[in-house]
Amino acid sequence: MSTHLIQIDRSLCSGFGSCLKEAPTVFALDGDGLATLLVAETADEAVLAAAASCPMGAIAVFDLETGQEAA
Amino acid sequence: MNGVVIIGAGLAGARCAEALRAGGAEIPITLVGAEHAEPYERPALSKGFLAGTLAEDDLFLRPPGSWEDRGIDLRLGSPVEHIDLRRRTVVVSGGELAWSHLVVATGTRARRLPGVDFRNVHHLRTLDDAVALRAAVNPGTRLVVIGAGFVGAEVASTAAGLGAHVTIIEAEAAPLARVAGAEVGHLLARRWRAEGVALHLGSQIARVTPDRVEIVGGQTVPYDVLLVAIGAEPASELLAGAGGIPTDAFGRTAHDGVYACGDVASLEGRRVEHWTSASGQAAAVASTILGSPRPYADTPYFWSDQFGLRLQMVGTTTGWSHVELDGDSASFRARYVDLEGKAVAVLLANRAAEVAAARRELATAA
Repeated sequence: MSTHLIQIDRSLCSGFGSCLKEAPTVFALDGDGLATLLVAETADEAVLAAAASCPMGAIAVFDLETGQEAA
Repeated sequence: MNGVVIIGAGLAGARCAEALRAGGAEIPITLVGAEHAEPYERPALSKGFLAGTLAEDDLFLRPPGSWEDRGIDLRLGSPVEHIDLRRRTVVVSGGELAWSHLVVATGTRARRLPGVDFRNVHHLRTLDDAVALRAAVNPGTRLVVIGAGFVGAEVASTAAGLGAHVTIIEAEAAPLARVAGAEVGHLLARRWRAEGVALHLGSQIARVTPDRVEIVGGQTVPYDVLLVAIGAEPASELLAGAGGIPTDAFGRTAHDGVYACGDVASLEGRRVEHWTSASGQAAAVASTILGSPRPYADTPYFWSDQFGLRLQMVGTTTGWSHVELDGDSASFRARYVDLEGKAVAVLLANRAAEVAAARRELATAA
């Protein structure tokens, strides 16, 4: 089980909110209606689905051990 | 077990392949695409890619080579010629592929104007289309766009930003009228004109020559580059008629073991061409093939960036009786309300903060 480092490009985020649905313990919407992180790292595999579900491609997930982009 | 063959390597096909593999299945997965490019994102073709701020590499869904790394047999430049439902094979150039499950995700193709096929006439659906259009549109180019739908609007907006002189010709009385209605359409028309675009509304095309468009009633618009943006039609001929491939919410077609997802699928009688539907329907098909079926039941959603507006629509504008409009052409919310006062759709312009609330309201209403 690898640890994932998550990044949101807020300039791309459109507030669609699909990331919250996929990984509610990781993502939230802030007062501007844009996605924000509740944690910076997680082992929760749901962040991969969250990244894939984002219509704007605003979410990047990296494997913390290898530094490789996982999604 | 012959595995899964997916026809169409766009968003729906690629997402379906990924979801199948992520679901832990060891089954062989073959992803067959007619185009030569690795699976890529189409939304940017009319925006960042056309503007030159995004390169081809930025569009790929996955880094080149990663499909093979995931054990997905990606076959590009391979249009499927025939599906044999009885023998469970598909015929591609140079061979036959056997399947136990078949996913048809062939998408759409741009509708054309009969007889209008000059060298400087463009359509926009594929990466190749976008490469050609990008090379043709320069500062000072006279670009005429036939059709004021979303593709036409986004290309017009991007081209105007590049310094082209843009004219849009539309048969309806307002842009985006079929989706947004006349009132919102007129609001958008004011915005487009303020951004320097010449807009001919309620205008039928009489004739198109290699250098001008003649409008019924006499006006003639000269052009260097013509974009025909009059919608798309489903590439469904391998399996069904012109209206798309009928499916249920799990992506199942009338044929055992055959599924459809994305733009080509007519899910319970409704075909939509949205990024989120393609992605969500692909996941539903994968879950069904993997034996733990989850239906696709999300509220429709799409976005469009044009003339300084980010438009985001939640829901479907059918069955509404009037529009509740808040704001102006710089930022607005339009609620499409039915006779009982219930919202069927919400269109937001530069109001990202209201998207989540609109989704909640419409998900509850459905």
